[in-house]
Amino acid sequence: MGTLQVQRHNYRTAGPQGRRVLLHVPTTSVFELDRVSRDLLTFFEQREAVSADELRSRFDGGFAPGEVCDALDDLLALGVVAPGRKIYDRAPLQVKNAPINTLVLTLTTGCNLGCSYCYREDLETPKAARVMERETALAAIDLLFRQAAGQQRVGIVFFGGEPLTRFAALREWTAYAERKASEAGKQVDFSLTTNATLLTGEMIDFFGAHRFGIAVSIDGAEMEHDRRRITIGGKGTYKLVAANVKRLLDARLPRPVAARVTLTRGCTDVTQTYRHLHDELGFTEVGFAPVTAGSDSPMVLDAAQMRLVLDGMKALGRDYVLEAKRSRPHGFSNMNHMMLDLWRGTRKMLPCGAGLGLLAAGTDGTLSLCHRFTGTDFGAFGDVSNGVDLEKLGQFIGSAQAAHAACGECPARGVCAGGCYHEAYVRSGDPLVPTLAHCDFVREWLQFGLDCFGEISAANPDFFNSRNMEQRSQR
Amino acid sequence: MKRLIPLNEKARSLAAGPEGQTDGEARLMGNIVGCTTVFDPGWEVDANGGLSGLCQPMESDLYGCTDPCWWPAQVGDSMNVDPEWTDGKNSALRDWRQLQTLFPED
Amino acid sequence: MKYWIGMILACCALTASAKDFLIVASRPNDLHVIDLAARKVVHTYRIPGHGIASTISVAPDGKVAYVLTDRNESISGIDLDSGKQVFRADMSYANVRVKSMFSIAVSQDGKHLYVYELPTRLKADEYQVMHTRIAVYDTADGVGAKPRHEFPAPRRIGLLAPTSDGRLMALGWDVYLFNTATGAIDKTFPLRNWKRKGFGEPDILDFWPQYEQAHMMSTPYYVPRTDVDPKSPEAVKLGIMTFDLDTDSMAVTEVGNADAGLFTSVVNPVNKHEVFAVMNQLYKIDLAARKVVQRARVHRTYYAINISSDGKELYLGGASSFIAVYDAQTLQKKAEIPMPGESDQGASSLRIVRR
Repeated sequence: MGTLQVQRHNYRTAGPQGRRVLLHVPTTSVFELDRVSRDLLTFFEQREAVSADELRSRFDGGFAPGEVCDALDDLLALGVVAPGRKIYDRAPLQVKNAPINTLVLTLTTGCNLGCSYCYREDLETPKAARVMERETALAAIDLLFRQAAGQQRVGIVFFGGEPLTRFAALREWTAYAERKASEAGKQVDFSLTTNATLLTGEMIDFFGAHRFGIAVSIDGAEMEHDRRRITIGGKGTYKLVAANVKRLLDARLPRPVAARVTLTRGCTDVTQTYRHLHDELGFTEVGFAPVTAGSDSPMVLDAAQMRLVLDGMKALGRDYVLEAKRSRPHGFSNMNHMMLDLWRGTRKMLPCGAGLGLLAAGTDGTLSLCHRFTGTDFGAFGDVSNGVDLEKLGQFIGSAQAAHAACGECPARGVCAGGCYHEAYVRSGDPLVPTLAHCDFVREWLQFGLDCFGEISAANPDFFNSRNMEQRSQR
Repeated sequence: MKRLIPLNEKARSLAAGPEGQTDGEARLMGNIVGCTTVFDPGWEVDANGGLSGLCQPMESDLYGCTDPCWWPAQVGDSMNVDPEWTDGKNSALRDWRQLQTLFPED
Repeated sequence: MKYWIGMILACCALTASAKDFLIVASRPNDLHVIDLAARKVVHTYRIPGHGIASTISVAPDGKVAYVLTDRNESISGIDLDSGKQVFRADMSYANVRVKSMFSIAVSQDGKHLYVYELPTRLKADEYQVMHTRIAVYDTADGVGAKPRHEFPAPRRIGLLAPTSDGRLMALGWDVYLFNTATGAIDKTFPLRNWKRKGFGEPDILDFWPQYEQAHMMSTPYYVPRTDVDPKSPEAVKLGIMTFDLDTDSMAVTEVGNADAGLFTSVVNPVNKHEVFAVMNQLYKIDLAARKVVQRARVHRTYYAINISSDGKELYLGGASSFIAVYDAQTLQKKAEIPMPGESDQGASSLRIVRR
C-alpha cells in the first residue's frame, strides 16, 4: 500500500504558530492554509511517511472526509506531499539573441573620491582616467536600439567612476539617445548613480527635464559617511554631499531619488542610517547592501556583523509592516523589493538581468555583463562595434541556469537564484559559485519577508493591489 | 485549489488556470461522434462496452489519435510530449509491437 | 456560379488528358500524388522538416499543395510537378508556440493561405493561452513567409474553406463567414447555438476538408431530440450539414437515426443532393429525400472520403496505409491503392485535383 511523504524542499510556512501562510518554493506562490490543510500538513511533518489508514484514523471525526481529501489534493498538486521524492525541474532558457533593453555606459574610469571600499578594479583619478569617446558612446547607443528592436522601452544608465565628471558628454549623449528613441518610436529612460559631490543646479535642472532616475551613494550621517566615503586626499565628504542632496531633493524631480548605503565593518546601524537619510534628509527610498569585498578584507562584514545587519533590517522591516497595515508607503527599499517579489511570485532562473536584459559598455566599448564587471579580468561579451558575442553569452547564461549544488533544496532558490555574479566573482573568482557566507542571511531575510507578507495580507490585503505594487516597482 | 487560498499573483494564476477562459468554453459532446465517448469508459471500448463502434482494426486509429493528441486516447502524442515515439514505425498494423512503453518524466 | 465558370474555363485550358489526381500524405512527412485512373502513386515527395503531415489544401489550378506539418506548427507548399518546397510558413516565434489543428485553406485563386492559429506563450513558469486568430499569408512570399495580416477568430474552429467571393468559411461551434480583408465576421450560421424546437445541440467531429469537387463543405452531425423518449431509437438523429461555397449558404438535414458513427462526408459534384459518408460503414444519402438510401460495410475504418469529378467513384482513405476505391453507384469495392512503404495516412486529408 502506498504512502505519502512530506517534501520539505518544496515549501516554507510562516505566520502565527508558523502555520498561516505557505510559500510554494518551485513557483513562489503564496497560499493561506485553512484549518484543515494546516492540521493535515502538521500531521505529515511529524511523520516519515503517512498511509491512508493513518490519515483516516487521525482525522476521522475531526473533519469531514471530503474536506481532508480536498486539502490533500491541494498539497499533492503543489508537491508539498508526494508518494516519492518530488523535484520540479525546468529546462534552461536558450539565449539565441540578446534582447537587451538596458545598457550601462561607463563614461569614465575616473572618480574625484577615493572611497575605501570601492569595488572598481580600474578606478583612476580624473586626470589619469580613461574616458568613453563619442564614437564609442554613439555606437553603444545604436547597439542598444538594435538589440531592443522588439521592445517598447529602453534604459540607459550613466556610470563611472563618477559620471558627473563628464557631464557635458552625458548631456550630449542623452540628446542623441532621445533622438534615436523618437525615430524608433520607443521610450528611453535614463538613470545615474553618483557620489553627489559635483552636483550643480544646472545638472539638477537637466536631470529633472529629462526625467533621470538618480541614486546617490551615501552611507548615513556624518560619522558613518565620512568613515569610508572620502576624497582622494582623505577628507570626509558628508557636508558637501548633504548640502547637494538637499538641493536635489528640494527640486522635487519627477522620479524619486534613492539613497544607496554600503554597509561595512563598524557601519551596520541600519535603523539609524535609515532615519537620518529618509526622515532627516528626505530621501524617498533607502537601500542597503553589504560591502562587496574578499573575505580577507578589513571591511567585510563577518558573521557577527551580518547578524547585526540582519537584526537591524528586521527592526526596520517591522516598521515597514506597521506602515503597510495602515496603507502607508515606506522607504526601506530592500523590503519594498522583497514584498514586490513575493506579491508577484517572482521565480528566477537567474539572479538578475545581466546578460539577458542588461549589458554594460566599458570606456573602450567592450561589453561586460554589468557595470560591476567593466574593467575587470572577467572578460568581454563582444563590443559596441562588432556586436554582442552571442555564443559566449549564450554559454554563460546556459551555465548560470544550472543550479549550484548549494542551491538545490534551498527555500530561497526562487528569489535568489545563486546571487550576484560579481559578489561571487570577488569572493571566489567564479561568478557562478554562490557567496555561501550570505546564504543564511538570504534565507532568514526571506523567511522574515514571508512572515511580514502573511501578516500584512491578513491585516490589510488592500496593500497588495496592482496599482500600489506597480507604482512601488517604478522606483 | 480547493482549500488553499491564493495570497499572491502567482498563486492566483496557478489556481485560476488560463486567463480569459470562463465557464461554458468547454462542453462534453452529448452524443457519440467518432468511435467512442470520451469518458464512458474510454478509448478501448465503445459506448456499449463492445468493440464494433471503434475504429477497425484498432491499429488503423492508432496514429490518427497519436498525431493530433486526441486526448481521450491513452497513447503518446506526436505534437508535443512524445514526438519520437513512432519514429521509423510508419505502419501501425505492421509495427505496433515495436512501440516502446512511455513513462512520465516525473 | 463564379466557381463553376472558373472551373469550366480551367478545364478548357487544360489538355484533353486532364484527369483526377488524389493528393494524400503518409507518415512521417511524405506527400503522394495518385493517378486515380491508373490506380497508382505516381509521385512521392518528402516534405522538408519534421512530420507529421496532416491537412492538405490545393487551389483549383492544382499546382501547389499546402500541407500542415512539423508538429502542426508549419505549413509547407509543395510544387506538385517538381516536388520542391516553394512555400513555407513556420508559425512559432520567440517564446510563442503556434499550432493549427486541421484548419488551413488556400484561396480559390491560389494567392492567399489562411491558417487558424492557436498560440500559447511559454513563460518560465506558466503557459499563457493567447487568443485564437486567423493569419493570412501571401503564397507568393514563398519560403520563410510571415503573415501579411491577422484577425481574431472565435475558439473551437476546426475547418476552413474558401468561398467563391473571396471570403472564408470556418466550421466551429457555429459556422462563421469571415471577410478576409477586414477580419470581420460577415455572417454567423448557428449550429451549436441554433434554436430549433425539439432539437438539442448538435455534435460534430470532423477534421477532413473535402469540399473541392462539389464546392460544398459538408459534415455529418449528431443531434438529440428533446421531444422524444431518450430510450427510443429516434432519440438521436444523424444529419448532414452542407455549406455552399458559391452561394454562401448553409443547410442542415436530418437523414436518419444515429445508429453508427460517421467521420466525414463528401457531396457528389454531379448531383448535389447526393452525399456519401464513411467511418466503419459507407453511406449514400439523399438530402432531398432526407434519408440514407444505401449502406455498405467497409472492411476497415476510413476517416476521409472524396469523389471523382464524374461522380462515379469514391475514394476512401485516412487512418491506415491505403486508399480504397468504391463504385459510387453500387457501393462495391473496386480497387485498393497502397501507400509506399505501407505507411499510415493518419489524419491526412484526401484532396482531388485535376491536372
